[in-house]
Amino acid sequence: MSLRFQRLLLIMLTLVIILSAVLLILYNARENVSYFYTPSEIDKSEITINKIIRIGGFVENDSFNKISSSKFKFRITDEKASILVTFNGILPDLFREGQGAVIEGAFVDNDIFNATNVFAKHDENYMPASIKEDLKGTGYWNKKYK
Amino acid sequence: MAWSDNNDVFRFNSSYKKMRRIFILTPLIVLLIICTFLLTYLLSGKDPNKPPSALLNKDVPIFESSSLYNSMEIIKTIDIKNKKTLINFFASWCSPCKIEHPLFFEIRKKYPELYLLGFNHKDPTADAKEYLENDGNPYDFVGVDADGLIALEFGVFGLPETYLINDDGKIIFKFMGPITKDVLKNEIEPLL
Amino acid sequence: MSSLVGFLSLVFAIGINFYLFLSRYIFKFQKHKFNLFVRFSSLLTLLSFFSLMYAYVVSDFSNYNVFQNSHSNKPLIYKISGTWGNHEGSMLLWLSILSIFSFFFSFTKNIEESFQRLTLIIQSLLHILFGLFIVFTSNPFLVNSILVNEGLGLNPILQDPGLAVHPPILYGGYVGYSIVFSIAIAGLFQDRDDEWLYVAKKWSLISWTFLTGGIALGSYWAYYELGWGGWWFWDPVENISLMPWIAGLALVHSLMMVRGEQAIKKWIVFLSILCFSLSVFGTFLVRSGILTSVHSFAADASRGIFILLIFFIVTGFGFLVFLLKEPKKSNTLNLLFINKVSAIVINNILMIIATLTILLGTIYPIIIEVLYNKRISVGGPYFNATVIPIMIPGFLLMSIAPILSWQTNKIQNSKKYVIGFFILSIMVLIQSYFLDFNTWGFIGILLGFWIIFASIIAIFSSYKVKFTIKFFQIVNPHIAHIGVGIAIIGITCSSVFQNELDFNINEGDKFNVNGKTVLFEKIETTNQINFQALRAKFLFDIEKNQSKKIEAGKNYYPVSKMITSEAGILHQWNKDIYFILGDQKNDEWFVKVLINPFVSFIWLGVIIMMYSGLIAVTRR
Repeated sequence: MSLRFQRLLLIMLTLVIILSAVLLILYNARENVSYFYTPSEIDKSEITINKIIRIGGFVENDSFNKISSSKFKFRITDEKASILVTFNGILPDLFREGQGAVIEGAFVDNDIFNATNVFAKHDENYMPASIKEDLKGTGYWNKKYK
Repeated sequence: MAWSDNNDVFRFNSSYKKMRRIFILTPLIVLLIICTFLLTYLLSGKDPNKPPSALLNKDVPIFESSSLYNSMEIIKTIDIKNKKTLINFFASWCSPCKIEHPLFFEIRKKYPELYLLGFNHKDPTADAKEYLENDGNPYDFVGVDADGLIALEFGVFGLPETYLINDDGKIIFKFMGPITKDVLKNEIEPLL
Repeated sequence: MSSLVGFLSLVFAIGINFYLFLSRYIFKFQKHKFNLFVRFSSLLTLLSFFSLMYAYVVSDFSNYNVFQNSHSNKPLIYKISGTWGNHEGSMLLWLSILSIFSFFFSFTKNIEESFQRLTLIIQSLLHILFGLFIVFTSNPFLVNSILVNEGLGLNPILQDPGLAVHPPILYGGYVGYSIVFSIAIAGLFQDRDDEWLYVAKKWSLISWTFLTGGIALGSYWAYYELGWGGWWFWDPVENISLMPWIAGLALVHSLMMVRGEQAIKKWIVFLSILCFSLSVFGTFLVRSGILTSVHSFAADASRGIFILLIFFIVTGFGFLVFLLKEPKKSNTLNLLFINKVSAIVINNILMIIATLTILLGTIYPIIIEVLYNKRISVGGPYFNATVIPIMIPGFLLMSIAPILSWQTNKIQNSKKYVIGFFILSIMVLIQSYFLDFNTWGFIGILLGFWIIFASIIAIFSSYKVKFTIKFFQIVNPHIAHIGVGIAIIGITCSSVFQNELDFNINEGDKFNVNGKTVLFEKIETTNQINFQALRAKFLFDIEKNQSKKIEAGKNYYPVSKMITSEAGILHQWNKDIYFILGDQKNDEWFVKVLINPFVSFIWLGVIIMMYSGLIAVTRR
């Protein structure tokens, strides 16, 4: 077998693999990519039911409602708009009212968003206001300034 | 293709050589493109983790507070209604506050007409005074928020937090955590 | 005090590396002296690292980094791991591991002296770049401006033995590729013989083994700590560790070809540069905070730009040298269709394409946001649907590749394999027909068994079984592939045949899991040193005398006001039963039970792969 033929074959094979990879990527990029919105970016008139999207914002204060031990209802807001969310499952450890959260799921009708995943965010360098009392409580917090 | 090392067959084929160059150049080009995108992204200052602010474009909450140095001196919401005000919540026990502290002197120098209002959050008076003595006092007025009620009105989650109020008495900017030079330059100054 | 020592030794180490770097042009050293200086700078970097660790161990809160990330109540092991549990410390760890690799490389015997020196000079350059990064943007030795007696505590989610050792091992892999990178670049400048390829092989195997261990530890941690019942989420942070891993696998396989007579040097150099670039890229993405990830990291744009610059310099430099200094022509690449070389070439193509697919999916959201100002997220389904189909032909190939010959077209005992494959297919088909048929399940299980089966036939029909070191070295590739087969079975079963059960129950209730009765005994809270524990106690299989206890719950860390979930896992050889405690309403608790079949196979497979990696290092 000549070297030229071998090389040709190799290049052909590579191209075929690359082509199928590109096709796969294009197809999946259309199907499996979810868009990210804030509540006010969602146009109520253009909601596509059951299309998976992500919404990021705050958990609205006093909106959290426990229906049962595994069913929750709360609102996600960016202060300009807010969206009613239902969730079935286990909320992340950092989920709290007033805290930032990202939810993934789909609208089941024009007003209710059913979340399949809830992610909560926490900044590791940021200092919760109530921390001082805890430190005081353990008796370790004696401060002196230079 | 990089793995086809043998040149024997194509030794005299110049178009092949050109093609090879292009193939070898590909990684560099890809690198350039990726870096361009990443740099644009970094410089655009987008932060996927940042939640939108809860109180933006709302009126300043009603508050009333006495001065740290003179309990007879009172500041109320109405006092800041028609001047641009920067409100900063701080405490002597809060180490991130210490980091942002020098920046307020810079702001003061650069924008003398801006009213700087500091709220001392859940702090014994003596500690707060000592803190401001050691690090300097950049504020026009230091209000006492000993029980944290004012912070509650503002929806303060942690210390430090900074709010910018325009001359209509609306909150136009809020920042959680210590402000930095970048935040000052890119987010606060354009609003002043 | 320790901060001062640490900072000075760090700066001094960087200074020595400047000196070493310039030594090529200005100062001339004798070999002996040069290596001594390399070792000295390594020890200084380590001294710097250990003085930071010392500050953590003695809870020296005058160090700002310690104050931010530690607490005197923490158990000793987490004080130690706190050293690298934050950005600054982890970058110092990165630099220290770089130094350790240079240190050991300076002892390499069977390599030309000038080549070794050139490699170490490139290492010095890397040391300088990352050292300056630490000094200017992430100095862990800053002195606290206020005097305090207590720290702010480590992120409790990081207080876990698995995660404590995860970063050093993972970095062992990432940074290990720096030496491979340096060797490859040196090889471009000074390509006299093939000796450097053997050295590169050794180091890339070591790095790859570390990286495998690091990734496995990370996903094992995610499995029992995050409480989501899965072990791989195609999270960006995971993807960026997977990319150098796959590229490194391609590199290890290409380096095998050196043993056959055709060295494909240029490709090897390309892969070496790629591996390290991807490692630095991974560091950049994690540390710049560009990625929206479920694992949260602190973000800082100025750091991001600095690392982006380093990434650009390192990768650009690598590929530029690659462009200007092509390796001399090596022997003819002879592709005889069905031989080992063509199998490895195809495997390499597939792996690189898989790597690029992951890369594209990971940075796609960034590109879209820059171009269209729209935010998207690319999740697991995309990666599953693109990466897996690309990898499948590679898996098919790997089952027979080790028995292919280097030179000829013959497969020994080809009949055995064909018959074996058919029998196996029918068996798996029948088996999966009785369990509900699932295409991916069928393909995965068939592939896994086929790889194991073919490798075993190959071992027994081609070699005499002896229990000597030499025998294990010879059959090592087959063993590695058996490991992959086992892992594939585990991955397929645990993801395709996972079963989820939800219960809303009160204390004292009984419920049914997989035909076994489970008793929800009680809820208990206890106070530990640095956290409060809430535990739900379950008794699994109460009909039997030896019923198993399972505890699932949450920990509350008062110092940082955080709650973490602790899943309760009952390990059995063929399945994991995974309990997650949810929320409570009145007296009713929500409990989620996941049945993950054959998860243990994944870890077993990974251990076998790592074992093979180590054995391969010993072999020339």
